[in-house]
Amino acid sequence: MSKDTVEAQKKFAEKNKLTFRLLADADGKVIELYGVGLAFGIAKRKSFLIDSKGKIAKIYESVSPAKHAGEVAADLASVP
Amino acid sequence: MGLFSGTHLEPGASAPAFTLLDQHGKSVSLAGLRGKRVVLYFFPKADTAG
Repeated sequence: MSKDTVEAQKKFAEKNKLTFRLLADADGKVIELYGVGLAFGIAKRKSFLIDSKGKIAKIYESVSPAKHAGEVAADLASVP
Repeated sequence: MGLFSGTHLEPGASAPAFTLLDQHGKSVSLAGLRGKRVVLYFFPKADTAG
């Protein structure tokens, strides 16, 4: 998710053929809720792995987009 | 409110609830995803590299 409108997320997903859900946090409230906001409310690149009971299983700081899918896939194996 | 406001979340804490619209205009809530493992990936701006 990012501080973008639904329309911006739609264009981004279509342009890059993204299949996962892009959430539009247009007013930045969820970004603030998760403490990931920088100047102007824009989110830093950070991920939260949440287990099936709604608890945070792992937090990833300084996410590298290229490597992230791989590291999350590996971690998911040990998350309930 | 300072520049770096917001909660400091730790593993083991409950992920804060939210409901937002996805790129298709559909409502997605964290509560609705209970029972599944979720990866919440924050990024700065749509249409940046990566």
